[in-house]
Amino acid sequence: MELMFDVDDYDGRSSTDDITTSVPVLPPNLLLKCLLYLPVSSLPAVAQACRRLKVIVYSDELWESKLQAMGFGFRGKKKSNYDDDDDDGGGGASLLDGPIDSLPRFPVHGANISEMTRKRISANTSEAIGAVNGRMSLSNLSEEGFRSSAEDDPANASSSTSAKPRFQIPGLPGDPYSMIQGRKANQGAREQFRTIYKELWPYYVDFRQANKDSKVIQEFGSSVLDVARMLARLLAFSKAPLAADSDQINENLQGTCEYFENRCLHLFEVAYDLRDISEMAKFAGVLLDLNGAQACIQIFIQKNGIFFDNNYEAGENLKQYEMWLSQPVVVRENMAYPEFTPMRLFMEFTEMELQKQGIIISDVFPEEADVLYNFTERVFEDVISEYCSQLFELCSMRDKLLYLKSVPTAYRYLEHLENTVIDMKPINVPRYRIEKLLARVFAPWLERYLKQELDWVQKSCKDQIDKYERQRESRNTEPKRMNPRNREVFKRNFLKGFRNVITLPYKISSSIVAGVTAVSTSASPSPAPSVTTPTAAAVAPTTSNTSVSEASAAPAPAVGATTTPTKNKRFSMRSITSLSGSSSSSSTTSATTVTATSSAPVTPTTISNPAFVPDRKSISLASDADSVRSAPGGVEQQQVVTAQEVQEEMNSLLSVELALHLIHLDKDALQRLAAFAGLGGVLGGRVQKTIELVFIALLRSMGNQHIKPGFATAIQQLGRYKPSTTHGGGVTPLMDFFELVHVADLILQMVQVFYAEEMCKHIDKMDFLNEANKEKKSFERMIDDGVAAGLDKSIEVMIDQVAYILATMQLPTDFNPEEGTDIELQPTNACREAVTCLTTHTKMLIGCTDKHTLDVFFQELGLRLFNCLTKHLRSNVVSSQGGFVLICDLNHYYNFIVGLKQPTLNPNFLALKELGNLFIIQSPSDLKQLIHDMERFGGILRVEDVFEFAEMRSDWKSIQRIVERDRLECSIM
Amino acid sequence: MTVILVSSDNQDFKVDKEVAERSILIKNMLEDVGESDSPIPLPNVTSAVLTKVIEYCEHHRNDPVQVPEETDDPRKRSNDIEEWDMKFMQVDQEMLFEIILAANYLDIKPLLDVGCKTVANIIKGKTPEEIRKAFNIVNDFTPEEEAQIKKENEWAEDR
Repeated sequence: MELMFDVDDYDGRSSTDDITTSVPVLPPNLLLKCLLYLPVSSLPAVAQACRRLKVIVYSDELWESKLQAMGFGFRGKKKSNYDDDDDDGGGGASLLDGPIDSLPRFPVHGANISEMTRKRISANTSEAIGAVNGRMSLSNLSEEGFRSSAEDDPANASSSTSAKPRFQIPGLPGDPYSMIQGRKANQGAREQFRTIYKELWPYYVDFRQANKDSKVIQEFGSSVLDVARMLARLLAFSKAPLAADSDQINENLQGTCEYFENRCLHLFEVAYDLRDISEMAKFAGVLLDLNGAQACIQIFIQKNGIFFDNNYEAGENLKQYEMWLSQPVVVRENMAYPEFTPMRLFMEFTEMELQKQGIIISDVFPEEADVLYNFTERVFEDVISEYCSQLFELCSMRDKLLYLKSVPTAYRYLEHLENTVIDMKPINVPRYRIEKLLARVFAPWLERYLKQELDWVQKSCKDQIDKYERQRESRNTEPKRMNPRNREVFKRNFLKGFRNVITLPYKISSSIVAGVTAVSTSASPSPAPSVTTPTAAAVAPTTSNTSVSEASAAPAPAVGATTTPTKNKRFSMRSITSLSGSSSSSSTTSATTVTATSSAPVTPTTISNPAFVPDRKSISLASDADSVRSAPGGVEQQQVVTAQEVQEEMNSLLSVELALHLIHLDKDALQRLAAFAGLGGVLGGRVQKTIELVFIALLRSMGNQHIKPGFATAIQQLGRYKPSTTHGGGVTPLMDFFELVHVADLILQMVQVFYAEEMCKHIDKMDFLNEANKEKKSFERMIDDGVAAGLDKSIEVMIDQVAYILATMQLPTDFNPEEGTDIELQPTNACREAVTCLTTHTKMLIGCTDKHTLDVFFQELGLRLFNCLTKHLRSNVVSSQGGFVLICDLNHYYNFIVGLKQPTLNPNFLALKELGNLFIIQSPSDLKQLIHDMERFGGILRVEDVFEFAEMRSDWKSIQRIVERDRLECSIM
Repeated sequence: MTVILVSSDNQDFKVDKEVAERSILIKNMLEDVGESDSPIPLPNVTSAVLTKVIEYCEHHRNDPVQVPEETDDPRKRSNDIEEWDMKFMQVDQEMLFEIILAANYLDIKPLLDVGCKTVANIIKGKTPEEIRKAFNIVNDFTPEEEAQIKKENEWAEDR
C-alpha cells in the first residue's frame, strides 16, 4: 500500500519491523489528526509507544493546535500575539496573560500596547513562530545559537529563519512529514505549552472538586484583580483538551467564573449607585480581565438615567408650533417661526450628559474597552432615535412643511452633537466611527425626507402655477407695461436686488424678505402715487408701535446697504414682524428699507411716473401669511416701486413674481437640503441627487407649465391678429409678446443668478453630463425656441401692420399733390406712423434676448420691410413735386433702418433712397441715364425694377417713349 | 440520477449521485466531467471498504455540507460521536484504518473525523504497552530511550 510509509525512513534508519504489522499504517498527517483529539494527559503514553508516534507527539503542529485553542494565534494574523509577554513579564507567570481571544489587552495590567504593536509589525512573517520557538527553547537548545539574540526580537526572528529553509522550500507543497521533521528541532510550541501547563495545571485540576474555595481563590484571594486574571487565564487554558474529564472540570471552572463575575458586577453596581468612581474603576478593571467586561459595560450604560428617565418629549415641539399657530396673525408675525426649541433643549441635555459620562467613563474604563463609543451608540440608537422618529412622525402628520423643516434641523443638532463627541476631553470617539453611526441612525429618516422634499417642491411648484393661472383668469384688467425708458434700469436693479436676497443666509433672508414686503404693502395704499416712497417712510414711524424700541437699535446697520441686514441677525429676526399686509406693524423694517429704497437709482423715474399706481391686488397677494410666498415679495423691496410694476403686469402671460415665488420655494428646499451636504458615501450621493432633482423640478415646472404655455398663447394671439388702426401705440399682441420676451429673459437671468449662487455650491458647473446642467440648458433652449418662434410670427404681424398702415393712411395726394399746394418737406403721415410702429416694437426688443437672435430678426424684418415698401410705392403716382416728399419718406425709412444697426440692410435702403431721384429729374434723357446707372442702385434693383418705379411718374406717359426707346434697343441688343 | 463507482477489484457500485457527492473528490470530478454515464474508477478503494463508505454516505446523504473552518476547530473532542457513527465504526482495526484512508482519499471530511476520533478513543487512557498492543506496534526504543521520553513527558501526565 503506497500510503504506508514509515517515519523512520526519513530518519535514515531502517525499521522494517513496522512493515511486518498487518495493520495498514496511517500516514503522519492522519495520525496527527487522530492525536489531536486526545487530551494532553494521554499523550505521554503515546510518545512512549514507538519512535514514530513520538515524533508526532513532539511535533509543533500538535501543540500549536492546543495553544491555538487557548487563544494563541499561530496562523495568519494572530501569529505574534503572545510573544512580547515573556519579554515584558520576564517570567513564565505572565505567559498567558494577554492573548485570550475575546479579550483585548488593557494597559491597566502593564502590558504595553505600543510595544505590542511594534512587535506585531516586526514579527509579522511566518518565521515569527520560529522566533518564539527560539526564545522558548533557549534553555534546552543552546546549540541553535540563540543566546546572544534572545532578548532582541527582530534578531531572534532572523536567527530562526536560518534553521528553516531546509524544510520549507517555497513553492513546494508542504509535505506533512517533513514539516513535522522541520519543526522537531525547535520544539517551541511544545515547550511553550509545557511552561504554561506546568503553571496552570495545578489550579485547573483543582476544579475537579466543585467548590467555590478553589486554589485560585485561596492563593490570590487577597487581590480581586489577580483572581480575575487567573480565572481568565484558566478559562483560556481550559479551551484545549487537557484531561479525560476536562468537560467536568471546565464546567466547575465556568461556574466559579460566573459566580465571581456576578459578585464583581454586583459590587460594581453598588459602587455606581454610590457614585464611587474608584471602586467602579476597580471592578471594571477586574471584569475586563475576566471576560472583557461586556456585562459590566452594559450595566454601566443601562443604569444611566438618560435611557429610561428623561423628560424630553418630541411632542413639545408640536405644542410650540400649535401655540405659534394659535396666536392671532399679527402676533404670530411678531414672533420668529418656531425653531424647535424643545428639540434644542433635548439635544443640549444629551450633549451635557454625554460630556459628563465621558469624564466618568475615562475614569472608570480604559480607553480600549471602547465604552464611550458604546455609550454614544446607545444614546444615538435609543434615545435620539426614538425622539427623532417621534418628532418626525408628529410633524409629518401635522404639517408637511413643518416636517421638512424638522428633519434638517434635527440633523444640524446631531451634527453639532457629533462634533462635541469628537472633540470631547479627555477621551473621545474617532470621527469616522461616529459619522458612520450617525449615518446609520439617520439613513432611514433621510431616505424618507429626501423623497418628501422632492415631492413637496414639485407639488408646490404646481400649486403656485395653478393658483397664478386662476388669478390671471379671474382678473382681466388692462395689462400695464414696463416703462420703456427705464426697462433696462429696472431689469438691472431688479436682478441686483434679487441677487442680494438670494445670497442672504438662510433664515435671515426669508425674514428680511418678509419684512421688506411689508414695506411695499404699507407703501401701496398710500393715496398719492407720485410720492409713494416718501409716504411709506412717513407712514412707518407713525404706525410703528410695537417695535419702536428696536428701531433705535436696528436701523443703524440696516440702512447702509441692502445687504446689511445679513450682518444684523437681531434686526432680521425683528423684521419678520412685518411679514405681510398688516402694514401697521412694520415700523423698523419699513423705515430702514425705505431708506434703502430711496437710494436706489430707479426711484426718481418711477416716482415721477404717475402710471405706476400701486395695485391693490399685489397687496392682497403679498399679504399672504405664508412665509415662503412672502419671500419673493422681499425682492421687490429692493426697488419698491419697480417691484410694484412687476406686479402690475401680473396679467401678462408670464409672471416674474411667480418665478420669484418658485425660485424661493426651491431655494428654501435647497437650503434645507444643504444641511446634509456634508454627508459622504451612498447617502451623500442620494442627497446630491435630490438637490439636482429639486433644481430640475423647478426648471421643469416653470418651463413646462408656465413659460411654454405662455409662449404658446402669445404666439397664438399673434397668429390671430388682424391689422387694424392703432394710434401712437403698438399692436397689442405684439406688445404682449415682446413684454413676454422681456419677462422670460428676466426669469432666465433670475434662474441664472439662482443657479450661480445656490446650485454651484453643489454641482460642478463644467460637468456637462450633470442632470441639473442639462436641464438648465434645455430650459434655456426652450425659452430661446419660444422667443424665436414668436419673433418669426411677429415679423409677419409687424409687416402686415406696416402694410396696413401704409395702405390705409397713404393718401393718393401724398406724392402727387395738386398743383399749387404747398408741400411740406417732411415725411408723410403714413410713413411716420409706420416708422413709429416699427420703432416702438423694435425698441422693446433691445436687450431682451441674445444679440444673435435679434440680428437675425432685424435683418429679416428689414428685408421684408424693403419688399413691402417697394410693393407699396409702386401703387402710387408721384409728381415731381411729390418726389421731394417721397425722398423725405425714403430718408425716414432709411434712418430707421440705420437705427437698427444692421449693416447688411443699408444697401437696400440706400438704393431705395436713390429711387427718389427718379421723380425729381425733369429731362427724360437724364432720367434714362439715371435708370441705367446701375452703380447708383448698388445692384439691388435691376433696370427693369427701376423702370417700373419710373412708371410711377405722373408724367410717365409723356416721357415714356424717349426713356423706353433705348431700353427697347438695349433689350434687342 | 445515479453514478457508477468502480472499486480497485473491479466491482461496480451503482449509487445515487447525491450519495456519491458526499465525497468531495467525486463531486468535483462530476462537476468537471459533466453529464456522463461512464463509471468512475476508484483504484485506491477496495470493494469491501467502498461498501462501508457508501453505507456511511447513504446514511448521511441529507447532512448539511460542512463549512471547512468549523471542522478545523481545535477545541474538538473525541467523545462527541453520533450513536449511529459509533456503531458504524465498530469494525476491526484494519477496516478502521482503511476507512480513514478511503475517507481521506475521497475527501469525505465527516467520515474522516469520525474515523480519527475513533482511533483517539482507542488510544485514550491506555499505557504505552497497551497502545502497542492495540495497534500491533513494535517497540523500537531502547529501555534508556523509553525512560528518557517518559521523563520528558512527565509534566503532561494527569497525576
